[in-house]
Amino acid sequence: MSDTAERARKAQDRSAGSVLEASAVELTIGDQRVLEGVDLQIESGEIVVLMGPNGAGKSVFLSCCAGALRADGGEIEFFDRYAPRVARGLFSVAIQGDTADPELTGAENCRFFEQLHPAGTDEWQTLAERFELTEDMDRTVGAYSGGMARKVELASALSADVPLFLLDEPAAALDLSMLRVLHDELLRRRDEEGASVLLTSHTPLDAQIADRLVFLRNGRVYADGPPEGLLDELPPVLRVRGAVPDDEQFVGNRAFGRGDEVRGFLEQETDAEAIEAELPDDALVEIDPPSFTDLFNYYAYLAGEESQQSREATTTRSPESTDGTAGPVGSEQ
Amino acid sequence: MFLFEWLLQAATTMSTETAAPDSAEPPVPDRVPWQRQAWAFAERHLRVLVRSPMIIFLAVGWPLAWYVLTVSVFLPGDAGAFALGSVAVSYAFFGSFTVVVAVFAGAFAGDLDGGRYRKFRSLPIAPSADLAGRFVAALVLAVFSHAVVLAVAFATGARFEPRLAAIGLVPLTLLSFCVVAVALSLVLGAVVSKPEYMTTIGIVLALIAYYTTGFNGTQPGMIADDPWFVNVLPNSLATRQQLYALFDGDFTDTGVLPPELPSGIEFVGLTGAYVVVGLAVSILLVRRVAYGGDPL
Repeated sequence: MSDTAERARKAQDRSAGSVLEASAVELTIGDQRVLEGVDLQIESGEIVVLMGPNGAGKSVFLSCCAGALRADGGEIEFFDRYAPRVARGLFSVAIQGDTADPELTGAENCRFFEQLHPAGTDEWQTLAERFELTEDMDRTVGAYSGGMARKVELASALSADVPLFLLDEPAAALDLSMLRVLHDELLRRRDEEGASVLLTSHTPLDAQIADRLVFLRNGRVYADGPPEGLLDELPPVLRVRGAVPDDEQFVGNRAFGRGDEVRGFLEQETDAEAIEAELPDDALVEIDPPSFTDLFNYYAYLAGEESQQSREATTTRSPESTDGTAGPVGSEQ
Repeated sequence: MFLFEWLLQAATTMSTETAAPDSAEPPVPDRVPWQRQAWAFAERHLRVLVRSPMIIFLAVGWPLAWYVLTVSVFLPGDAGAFALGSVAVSYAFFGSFTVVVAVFAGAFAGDLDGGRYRKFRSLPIAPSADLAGRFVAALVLAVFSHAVVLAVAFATGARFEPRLAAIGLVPLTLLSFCVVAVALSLVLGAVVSKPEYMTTIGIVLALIAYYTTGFNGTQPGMIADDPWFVNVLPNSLATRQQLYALFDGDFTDTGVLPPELPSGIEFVGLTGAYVVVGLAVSILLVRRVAYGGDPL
């Protein structure tokens, strides 16, 4: 059977049904409730990006799905029948942390994990080439940068021939060109092989490849839907350049810095006129179409908090983070 | 019970056979490739061993340095071939113990501390394959260290006169000693969880075991009280059993007696018991701490 026909057959095999269904997943670590009843479904051939700020519970939830952590409550089921520990041969996982052995070379690490996974293949060699890592694969991982080690872990995880990939913050430590390579690879897996992907992220750029975005905060799901639908539901976004508006005039009493501008959400578009009236004449004040960064900021920091009118206003701006996420004014990223 | 579980799991997961996918049914997870996984773990550890100067030194240079020092300082110039041989056997076990504990406690602690076990737990790995791989690599290292010390001793004057009827004790004692050392290394790795301390801890433990048992049971006369325990504790028992197997002669006036050398079948049974207990502890730790716990 040709490669093309084989891919088509796999895509057909994987074309129907639920791949992952998690309901009311709960977990407490120490005295901290990390997951508070998380529900999530992934259909076959779907890329779901689980987004949220640091500490939201994304990685812990993914670890529960992967069988690396046991949830206290709720249910996680793969392909309508398998518990995580039973289904491990059907998915491949890249989790955060130093999972590559620093005393082995990149190639030896990939070969090691290829041997461990029942569906392991040597496709990591091709992936290493795409990640521009070929020349470094014979060096020990201990001599790698964080980004290079991450690419080895991703090449290893993505080389398994499985219908589902669980990727924890794959974009962390990747530069923009490598992020594009990763996105292309995930889209190819979905389109040609019918594979599904659950990917955690706090990088708005990852939303570009999502069929569905799920926002997690404080261990709870705040939003779940296709990116376009969630963008449409956002309140109007006001962009201010050349002046710093009062945070209290925005939803959640909070504005966000991005580059040389301040962006915030308005209860209604007409509020823009009141803000503009208080700013110098040369300031640019306009309603702007929402971006994925706005989407991330809204659901990561504001959703569910609009009613907290007594929130203390802050005025200092935080620098834009290196991953493209705008920093909330006066709050720690 | 754990040994039984381990054997059962090993027997039922040996196949790498893949169930054929049926488009009308959900996919079926492939069976765990037990042998491939065990080899992967063994190969991983062996690769690290051969490229580490520190490990090579601990395996070869460390016991040989002690051997040369002892022969030069404490033995008379006309020391017999048996005296040299018994010192060599005691340091061969000393070296094996040091390097196995230091290396494998460090490796286990490193996997726990570095978060690699979170990755391993997300893979369909048979914990017994992980343990088997570690054990095979440890055994290779221990045999290498042991053999080099005996070979160098032989080349420099030591002589061995094996009892052919008891020669099986040589691999048995090495095996049992290695199992005990691996079990101890897993305990240390789980408790200390700082890989950078393991070399020091391994050396200190080896020295304590060596001296408190009268040079691994080769000089029990230096123990003030009745030294009966040198035929019981695993390091001195293994050393004395190997002395019995490697020297077919009279041990009077060699410092090795009393007590009598452990030549009876009951001591073979005790050695076997150490293997069973060591395996049980190892399996328990790997299953519960490494693959069952949530060390966040």
